[in-house]
Amino acid sequence: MRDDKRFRVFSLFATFLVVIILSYNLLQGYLLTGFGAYIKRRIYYETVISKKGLSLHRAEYWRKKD
Amino acid sequence: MGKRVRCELCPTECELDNYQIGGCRVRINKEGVLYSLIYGKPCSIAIDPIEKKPFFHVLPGSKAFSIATVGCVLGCIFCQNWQISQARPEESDHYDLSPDELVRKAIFYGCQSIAYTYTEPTVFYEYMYDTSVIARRYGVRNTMHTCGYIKERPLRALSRYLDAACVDLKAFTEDFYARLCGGRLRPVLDSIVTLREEGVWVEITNLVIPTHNDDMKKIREMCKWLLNNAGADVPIHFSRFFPYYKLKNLPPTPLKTLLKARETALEAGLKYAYIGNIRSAGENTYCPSCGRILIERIGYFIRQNNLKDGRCPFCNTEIAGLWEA
Repeated sequence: MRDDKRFRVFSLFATFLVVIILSYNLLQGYLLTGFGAYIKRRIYYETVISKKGLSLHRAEYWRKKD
Repeated sequence: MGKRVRCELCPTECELDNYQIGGCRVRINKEGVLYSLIYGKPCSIAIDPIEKKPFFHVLPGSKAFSIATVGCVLGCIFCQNWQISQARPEESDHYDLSPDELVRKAIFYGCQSIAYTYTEPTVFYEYMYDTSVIARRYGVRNTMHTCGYIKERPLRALSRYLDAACVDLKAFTEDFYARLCGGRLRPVLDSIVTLREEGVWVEITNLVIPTHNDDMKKIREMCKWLLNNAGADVPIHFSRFFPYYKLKNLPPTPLKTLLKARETALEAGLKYAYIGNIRSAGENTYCPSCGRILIERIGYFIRQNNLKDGRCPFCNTEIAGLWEA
């Protein structure tokens, strides 16, 4: 492989890495926090709320009763 | 991770992510659908004199089948029922009582009305609504004690089955509602107007808290607003505050302050002003025309009731209220 070709592949790889790292830094707060919070809520619901025997009654039905 | 849902029951309008519970602690978004967690699960059931709600112009001397679930739309730091209003349904004990069973029990125990009370009934809206529909069918009156923090649409839908509402008007400043309750005053005032428009009998309760809302200028302003927007016939109850929950650094309201508030309300033009949570002559109903005693009360009990067909027996003045079942 010629040097200029090697350089081009290396530059592309480096650019790809920079983009991935930047995107991760920018989006981790949004994606991971959201997902982490969802998992926490879901676990709480499954292990605490649904075990308590509370009913799930559809709310806000004045919409259809109006 | 599921659809977000906006709850449109109270003016807080919580936007809930999947499996998130609202600020009231009792409504959950599950896979894009909003559910009530406390339908048919009251935490408190009791048979009270209706005067305890307090309703002084609704079926005096009658029994009210009173229920509440946990949860509240506000977070008042002076809450007098905080053990249940600030509790979570999954952490509290509850009864299983369907709406029709509830009405059946009310009739069985000779209650002329059902009172949705103790906590904020808005949070168990669907349970209250279904119960009210059945109760109306059997001639049982529906009453609620509410903070009035509810949106217009659900309130109008409920009002079709509601006979009386006692609205907690906690103060007459937005600042008070923001700092002490985590809410706003405007929606409460709108609810009072809506209830009157819908023909629901309205009484007002004002918990007088030393240094926070005992300014007579503001009380006068509040009474003037009530006079202009709800009418002179709306009874107002000034209740004595006791230091509970997160506001324990204040003394109970002095009787002098409550008497002054009552006097201010009468001067402002309201016909019926009462004092609550303390024994005094301020618990009695007097004729606004001749000043004679119409209903004498000792606490929640009636000592004498002189009303004749909703009129003063001495001067025949009509006294506003729901006097007959």
